[in-house]
Amino acid sequence: MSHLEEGLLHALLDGEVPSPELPPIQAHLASCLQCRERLERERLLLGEADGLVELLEVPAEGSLRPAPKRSGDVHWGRRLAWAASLVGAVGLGYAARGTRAPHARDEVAVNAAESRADSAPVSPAAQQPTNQPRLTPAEPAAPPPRAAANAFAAKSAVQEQAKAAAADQLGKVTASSGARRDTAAAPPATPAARPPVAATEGAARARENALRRLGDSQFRLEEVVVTGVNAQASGSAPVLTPPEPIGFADAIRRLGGSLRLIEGLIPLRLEAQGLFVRVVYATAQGELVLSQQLVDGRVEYRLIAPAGFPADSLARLKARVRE
Amino acid sequence: MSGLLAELFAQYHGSLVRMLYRRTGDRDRAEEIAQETFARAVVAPPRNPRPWLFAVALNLVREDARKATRQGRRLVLYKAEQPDREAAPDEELDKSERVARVRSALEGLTERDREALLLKAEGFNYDEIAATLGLARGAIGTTLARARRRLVEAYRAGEEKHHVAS
Repeated sequence: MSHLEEGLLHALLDGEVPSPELPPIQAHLASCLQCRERLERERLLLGEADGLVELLEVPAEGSLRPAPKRSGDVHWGRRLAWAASLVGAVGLGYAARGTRAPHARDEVAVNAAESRADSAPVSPAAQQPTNQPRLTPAEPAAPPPRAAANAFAAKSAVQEQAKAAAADQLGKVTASSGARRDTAAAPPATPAARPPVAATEGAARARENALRRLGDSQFRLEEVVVTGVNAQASGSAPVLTPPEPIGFADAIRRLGGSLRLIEGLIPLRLEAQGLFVRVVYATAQGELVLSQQLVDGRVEYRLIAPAGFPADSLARLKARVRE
Repeated sequence: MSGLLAELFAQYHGSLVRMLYRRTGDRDRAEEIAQETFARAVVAPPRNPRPWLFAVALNLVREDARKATRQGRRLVLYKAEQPDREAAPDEELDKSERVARVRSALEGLTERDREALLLKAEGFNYDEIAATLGLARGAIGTTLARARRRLVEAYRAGEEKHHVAS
């Protein structure tokens, strides 16, 4: 028998070789050191690849803001929320015009050396009421819009069974080979599985969340209005245009050809608000914003971090701002 | 929601959204596509639900990508993954960078390799992967072997590049 093909080695590791086909493979592995070593290498590769894929965890509910939408995708509920926030901001800002005072910002702002005080952008929270979950009309046929975070962490029982079957099959193969049983019989080096959670529990929670969101729509509109008030009261320049998602090309064009980014970080999104171009990054404490503006042919920028973001980390990030 | 759909939803929604999130890098998009997939299941209840649901969902992803290309939206912005709440900022940055490298490596695979890998990560066996992707069962081992090797190689290459740069 010629050497075992790579695909067959992976089928063996995945427990997918039918029983009738196992004996010649077992016999070959028993006599071929080279194939046993290859099997071991592929086992490590498989474990590493599985571990990499598992790094891509679904973010917990509410931890990420909705992605920038194409214009046709904007939901009526979100439009309504924006309209309410603008009306509220203008109205309450007018009412409070005589009592405006400097107000502590919710986030820590670090001015770049060349930044000007009068170019201060408003709080990201005030600028982005689209953070609210979207309203999804009740539709009997459609499932709830989001599953509970726990459902994402659940490993399927089928997957666990498949891994067990693979380990079992490999155990049989290597035990019968009479050689290298100690290493080959070990289960693949996969990362520890997350604790299983019943899928039905997650779905029930998702349904509850969907109903709760629909019921809370009025409440969320009020939250948006309050955000608008904060923007006015903070003493920042009033911004009446909502941020709009833009692409890199557009951002570079708006800044006269020199967009700045934080080296080593992946932007969550790019957006424009008035003259400002905002590069938004996700952190555990909230969103970190690199706000930029073209002034007299030069780009001025500010790094705006959410409350609770460590100052030393912020300083390190500031040093990593690159054109 | 019919009993059948409720059952399908309870059984597969979490897994489907996870696979779609890994495929698209966009949680909201993943959930939208999952909803659309389940809506289609209502219209035409599938006999073999899991491969059917995942095949429809992957078709929708491809369709969406083609539309994006036609509209000139060629740029893919990878959304940074949500770091653990208790993790220190440096750890978050490190994790965020690793996740970005995995995404980049995954994007470098062929569509077939990438989809086979993501389906396997959801616990699909070779028969189900073959049924979902319309491939011969005998080709799945080779496809997965290639996908895993290329993913790991691309990730390591990204890691080396990062170390050289820093």
